[in-house]
Amino acid sequence: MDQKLLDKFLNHQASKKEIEALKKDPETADLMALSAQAAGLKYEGFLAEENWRCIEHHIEAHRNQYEQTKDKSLFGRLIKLIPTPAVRYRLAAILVIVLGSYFFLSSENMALITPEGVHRQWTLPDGSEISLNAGSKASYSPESWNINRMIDLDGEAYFDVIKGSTFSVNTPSGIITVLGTEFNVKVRDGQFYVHCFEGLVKVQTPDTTVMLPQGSGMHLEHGILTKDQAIIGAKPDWMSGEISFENAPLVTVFNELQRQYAVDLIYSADLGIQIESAKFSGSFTYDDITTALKSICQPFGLSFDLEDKEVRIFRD
Amino acid sequence: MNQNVCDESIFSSIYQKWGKALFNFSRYKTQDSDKANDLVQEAFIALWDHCKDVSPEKAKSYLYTVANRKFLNEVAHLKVVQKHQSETLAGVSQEDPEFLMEHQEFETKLKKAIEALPEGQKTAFLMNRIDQMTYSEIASALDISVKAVEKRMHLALKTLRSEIEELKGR
Repeated sequence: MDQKLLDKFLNHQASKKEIEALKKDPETADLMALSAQAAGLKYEGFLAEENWRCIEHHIEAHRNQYEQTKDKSLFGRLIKLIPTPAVRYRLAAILVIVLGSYFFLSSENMALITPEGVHRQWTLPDGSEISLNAGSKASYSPESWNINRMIDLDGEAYFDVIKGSTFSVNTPSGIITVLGTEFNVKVRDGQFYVHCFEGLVKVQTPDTTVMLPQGSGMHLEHGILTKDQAIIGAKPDWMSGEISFENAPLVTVFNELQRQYAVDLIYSADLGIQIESAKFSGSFTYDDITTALKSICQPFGLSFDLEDKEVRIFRD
Repeated sequence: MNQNVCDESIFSSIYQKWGKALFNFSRYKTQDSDKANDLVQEAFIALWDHCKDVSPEKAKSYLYTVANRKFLNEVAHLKVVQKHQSETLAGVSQEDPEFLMEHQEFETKLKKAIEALPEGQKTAFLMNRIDQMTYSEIASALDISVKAVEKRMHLALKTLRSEIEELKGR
């Protein structure tokens, strides 16, 4: 008996010639007849429509539930507590002056906020660590932390997550979920960056889901998702004294400089370039504003005047 | 490219395409059509809940994996059901064999012999025969190796043939 050929037949891959050959052997002929008989058996009882109704019902119910959870995002609730933007700003300004960097405890949420010019690190209830870059905010609910490690973020943060239950970061651009790992998230000016330094990170945006293994990253800009080149180094550069950019709009770079040094930039009317479209690749230091301004302005032939907390950018 | 099955038209076409085969698969395992319909519903609901993570190409193997896992989770309970089922089946076929046409009789006996196979062999055999699935498709659905599928097929055929020969001799 040719077992290999019989397998080929059973696997729906035998040619006519091969089937003829198999039929000549009485032993395989028997088995083939048996197999053919078995193929004709029918199992009734499939309730196609009834099953589909149940599945559809679930889809409907689930869709409503999903919309409700979206409304209940922690940040949404926190922001709603404060009546108007003007009041929000005043409140933030007062606290910044008093504390420099601070956390704000509401009955529900713990808010971590870094004003411009300040970096700070916190330890979360499970021992995981969050480092906020300047001008960022994050919030979480201490009450439900043990059940649900979930944190809302706007700005840029580096996470060092202790292994345990799922840890998720909600941002306006997408959700990042991990089990235990080190990663950096940046949500600025409608751009969304996630870089994984250790472990594995899952990023969900409204359109897609990507898995980022150690050493890789992604960014989302104008709805287009791009996987980034391998990361060099063990920590994001902003944590080691430099902020670097690759092909970023000049305005993004200047905005970052404003955040890092807590200064106001004033652009003169005739710069000769569009800061929205001009692209910058390189880095600037965050402990010396003059050096930082030089490294951004020189490639574009721009000059600057630094006075107190105001920087005027112009072309000679 | 990054397509998933969250699109309702894609989702319903997957149901059209694989619903019946998934029912058969569940039916082979549970030997109970109510339970099999339940497994179909549960598998498709799980697929919907994870629709963002599953591409249309992976949907089929996802469905089989879920149905298989849910079946295994309830296997202790189902063993009782199966015992009851095969008792009723045996009762039926013994009552009126004389009135059955010859080929119907053979079919009933073949079905009975198949039902008596170990669960793993039976499922692989019927997926191959009735649902026309290849060894590698079966392997991925059951999460076993192609070699293991081959082995199950050989054993199933061997057992069935000796059963049928026994029947012929009667």
